[in-house]
Amino acid sequence: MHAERNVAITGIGLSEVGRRTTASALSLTVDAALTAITDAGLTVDDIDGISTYPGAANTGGGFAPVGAQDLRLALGLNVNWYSAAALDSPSQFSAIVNAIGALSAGLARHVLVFRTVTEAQSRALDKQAQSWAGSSGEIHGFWEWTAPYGVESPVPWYATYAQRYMYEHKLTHEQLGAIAVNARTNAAGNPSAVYRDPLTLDDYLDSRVVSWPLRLYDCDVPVDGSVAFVLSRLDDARHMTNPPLRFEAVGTAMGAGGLRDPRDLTSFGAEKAAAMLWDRSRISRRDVRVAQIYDGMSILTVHWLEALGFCAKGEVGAFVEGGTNIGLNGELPMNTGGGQLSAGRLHGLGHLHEACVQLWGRGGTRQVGREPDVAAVSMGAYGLGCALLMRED
Amino acid sequence: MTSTIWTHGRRVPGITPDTADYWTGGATGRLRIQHCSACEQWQHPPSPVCRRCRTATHLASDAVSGHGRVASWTTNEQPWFPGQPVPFRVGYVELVEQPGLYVFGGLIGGTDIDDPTDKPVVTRFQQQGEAWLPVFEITDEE
Repeated sequence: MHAERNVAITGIGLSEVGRRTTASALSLTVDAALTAITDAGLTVDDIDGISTYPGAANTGGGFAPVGAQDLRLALGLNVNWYSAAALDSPSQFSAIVNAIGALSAGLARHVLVFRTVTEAQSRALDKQAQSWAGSSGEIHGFWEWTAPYGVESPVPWYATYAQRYMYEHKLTHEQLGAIAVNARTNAAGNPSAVYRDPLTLDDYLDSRVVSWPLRLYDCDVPVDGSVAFVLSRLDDARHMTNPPLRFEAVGTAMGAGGLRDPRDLTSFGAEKAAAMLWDRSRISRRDVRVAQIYDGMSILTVHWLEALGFCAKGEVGAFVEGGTNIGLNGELPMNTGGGQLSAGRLHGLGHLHEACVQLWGRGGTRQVGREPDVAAVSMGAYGLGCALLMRED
Repeated sequence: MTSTIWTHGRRVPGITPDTADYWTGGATGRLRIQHCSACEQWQHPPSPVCRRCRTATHLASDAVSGHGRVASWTTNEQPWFPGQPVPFRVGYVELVEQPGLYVFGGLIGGTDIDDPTDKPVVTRFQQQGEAWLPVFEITDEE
């Protein structure tokens, strides 16, 4: 059974994305949702399912300001099936995977998938808003092992992996920097990207160190914004407005790696997700024409490129160096809208949106030349991951 | 034992029956790690059972030597809360008792060593409330 093959993306929507918008989280969400529904050629009344991640969570950090019930109420949706994938799931793409399951099981016909963040607004109100570990007292669970040492952010934790990778595989700072420079170069062609001014390798090397060896430009950008998709059953999708973008394969993983469970400190569960993806696919990585690879931190892109098999172990540095191979006209055009490093942190769903833009040929000046028909998209970090393979029907 | 060697955190571990031995071993000057004597397997973080044989019958927190090597490290330069002293080094230490037996902690000493990867460490402790945080001192001796 390959449930994903029966499902297609039929419409996409993106709200204003900004470093500090004045719109409410709900307004951003409504904007993205209505855009996606209209793009699919549907009306609000056609939507009978909602899937999101992680549901409304009033953590104060703008990580999850809008839940499915909020959107139902705002739009007057008439829905039977809905679901919010929890934080404890193989990435934000779990919202997509759950929608695929529901559509394939016949629980819904057109599912609206959305993800909204207001991390920039929240940070402007309170600089501590995004302290993942909270601010005081005893700490249990995930952060128990690092927060007592002052590590209350994922950055130093990612940095330990980056350091070991650079040590073992001789990845240079210039090579790692090529990922950030490529993102910025591509963002110039994306009107929705938050950072579009040119970034040189020297700018990258001169940027301040956050946690050695990771610099400011290795870190993605918290933003306000919402992204939405309509997922439909393939038999319906073939009679709708846009050419269906099919899910060729899905790969998920509950992997090792991370604060509590480091493995070799140079990789994480992405390999498991990638192995599942290729095992379920009828096409291979050589068929991929455009790649939207998770870049919540630049080092994660390194891990994913290896895991997905685009590079052999230890060879990512040579592959990305100089940016030619990953540029718009390169062997593997990557993060064509600027990724999270320059377009903003929409938690992987921005990458999926960009994959659809490219497959539908809507990229404008950033459109990949070779009329891409297959896109690989990945999301996830240490301990979890999900990869999607999208193709034209 | 009263000297302050780690000043970069503001949180204390929430000690539970599962984690108490790890966080309080420093009170007697020994780092304690779970060990299954049936499997001859060390494991960290602690679990109610051995992750290999899935029983608790032979599971105990045993003292380890406190010796290891720096598996990976970072020098953190950005403060994560107001007033946090920076920079500071943290990282994963692989304990000598078993390949892949990693613990995370603060790294001290070795300030003249630019890249402490694979350098040997010894365990020290920083008392913090009920807990004794293991902190790893980089040495230049094999």
